[in-house]
Parts: sequence; C-alpha cells; structure tokens
Amino acid sequence: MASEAEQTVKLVSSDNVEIVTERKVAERSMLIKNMIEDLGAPGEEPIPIMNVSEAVLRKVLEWCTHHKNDPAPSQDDDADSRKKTTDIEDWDQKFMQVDQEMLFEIILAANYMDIKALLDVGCKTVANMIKGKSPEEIRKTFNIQNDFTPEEEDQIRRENEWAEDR
Amino acid sequence: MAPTPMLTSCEMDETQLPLTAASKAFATTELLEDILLYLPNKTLSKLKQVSRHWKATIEGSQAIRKQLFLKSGDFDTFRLGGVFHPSLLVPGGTVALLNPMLEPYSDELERLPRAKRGAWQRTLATQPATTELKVTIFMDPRSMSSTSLVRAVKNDRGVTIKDVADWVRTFCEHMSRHRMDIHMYLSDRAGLMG
Repeated sequence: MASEAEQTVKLVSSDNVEIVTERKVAERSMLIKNMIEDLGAPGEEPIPIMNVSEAVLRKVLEWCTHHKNDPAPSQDDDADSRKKTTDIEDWDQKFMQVDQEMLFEIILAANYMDIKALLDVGCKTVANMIKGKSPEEIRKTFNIQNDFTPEEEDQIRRENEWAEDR
Repeated sequence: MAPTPMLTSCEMDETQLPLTAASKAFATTELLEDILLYLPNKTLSKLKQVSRHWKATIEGSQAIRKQLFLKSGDFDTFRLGGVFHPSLLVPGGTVALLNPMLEPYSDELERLPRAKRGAWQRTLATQPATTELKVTIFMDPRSMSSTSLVRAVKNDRGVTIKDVADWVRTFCEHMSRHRMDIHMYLSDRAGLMG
C-alpha cells in the first residue's frame, strides 16, 4: 500500500467526470475525509461529489491544493476567526476573482463538501460586495426580487432611520 | 459556471426564472446568515429592506440578534463584523462591549436624546447585557473635573439604549442647551447577564 503522502483518490463530479487528486488535498473536505474513512480503501472506489460540477470541483481542488498544508482548525481557532475582520489573504482574494455565478457555486460547494475555511473566504467576499451598497443596489447586483409593498418598505425604512441617516 | 443541466430539463426551465447560484445560496438561511455576520450592525439593520427573506433571516437569527445587541451574548463568542466596538473593563477583569451608539465622544451620543423612535431603541446598551449602567454626564467636555452628574440606569431585563436615551432626554429638558459629553461605564460585574 502506498504511503499516505502518495495516495490518490478518485472523485466523480455531478456531470460524471472523474478527477484524480492527492488524498491530502481532497481531505481538506470533511465530507470526503469522512467518506474515505468509511470506505476504508482509498483510491479504489470512486467518490461521487453529487452536487458539484467538474468546473467548480476543479476550482475547489485548486484552493485545497494551495491550502493542503494549512494546520487543521482547532476549536480555539474557530472562535478566533469569528472575531476577525473581513480581511482576506492575497492568494485567496485573487482566487475569488471569478464571475458571480462561480463565486456562489464555490460557496455552495464549500458548504456541501464541508470545507470551513473556503466557506469563510467565500462569505467574506460576498460580505465585501454588500458593504456600502443600498438595498436597491444589492437587489440589482444579486438579482433579488423586491417582494415588499411600498408601504411595508417605507415602514422598515422608518423603523431603522437611525441606521439610515449617517 | 452552473452545472450543465440535461437538455430536456433545460428546455423546461426556459419559461421559469433562471435559478442562479446566488439565489440558491441566499435561499439557504444558514449561508445567508454566515455572510451577514461579517457585516457591521448599521449595515445589517439597513439590509432588512432587501427582501422578505432577508428581513426574516436578520430578525430570526440568534447569532445576528446577539451581534445587533438585541439578545444578550457572551463577549468571547462575538464576531465583530469588522468594526471596532468600544469595550468596557468591568471590575474583576471581565470585558463587556459597549453598544457602538454609546461610543464616547461620538456625534451619535449627542443626537441620542433627539433621535426619532425606531428599532435601535430596543438594542442593549452592552454585551453581555447588564442590569445597571452608571452614566456620567460632564457639563464641560474639555474638563473631566467639571461639574458632572451621575445616574445609575437600571433594567432587570438588561439596560437598553432606550433606557439610557430616556434619562439623557429628561436631563436635557431640565438643563439649558449645553454641549455635553457623556461617559458611561458599567457599575459592577454582578450586573452582567449571561
């Protein structure tokens, strides 16, 4: 049996494309890590990643490759990262410079594949896009339907006037 | 890029609104909550205007309610939304966060007595909540040794901004229009709620 460093795993995307990757890279995903542990024989059985297409899966694995040697987050780190700002490290920032569809596909994939650090980067990126925009600009940016009546909208605005007028 | 749907489903979807990854992510309450928790409080309050789903998420999330000072929360588990919150050191070494609206020397503090009614009134003065907050008003902002008035503002369910504003307003009505400086600090550790 190959040593852990050389082990590879076969992943299958939602559009049925097989991708072979290093086990260590794939195990940034808790979903895959748990599956490998359950299957017992890594590398032989292909692992289906049901909700993620090839293009998105390749992008996610690119992130996992760059971060494969990051220390595993402990309980303490988690509390710390919650207090941190929306600052994003340079490499991640560049990695997230994709079109909006891909950005949200990455977030959905990180959520599904249980990759906490990638999910955080994605959420911070969206938070930064929201910052400084009016509700109307946000609806336009993300194509969100305004389902309030004008009266309701007016009332919410008045309720939060203090927040509005600065 | 969206996952390529099969041809038949693609044709069927033609008449419906395209389901983008963004709409899928925002429709997942936990994901929207995760995103919103990175935003400062003022922004969060404003975002209730985006849509019914956003409003329900902001008002229904326990984590967001804590961040908005609407629910008492443990200081250590706080995500700060990338903004500076002034903190208070309570006797005994515990740290509490002061509602950003009560930040000393801010314009908002001076506007507090004249501010219109609104959701902000229900927010807690500190995090975690305190049953008693000692408020000191200095008559001359340039001198800490000038005449000052101290008052303990109390609320068994946690002192809110409204409690503080009401007292400051009463005070202003009795005094001629002085420029005021308001200092606040927690009266003691025993008042902190979990």
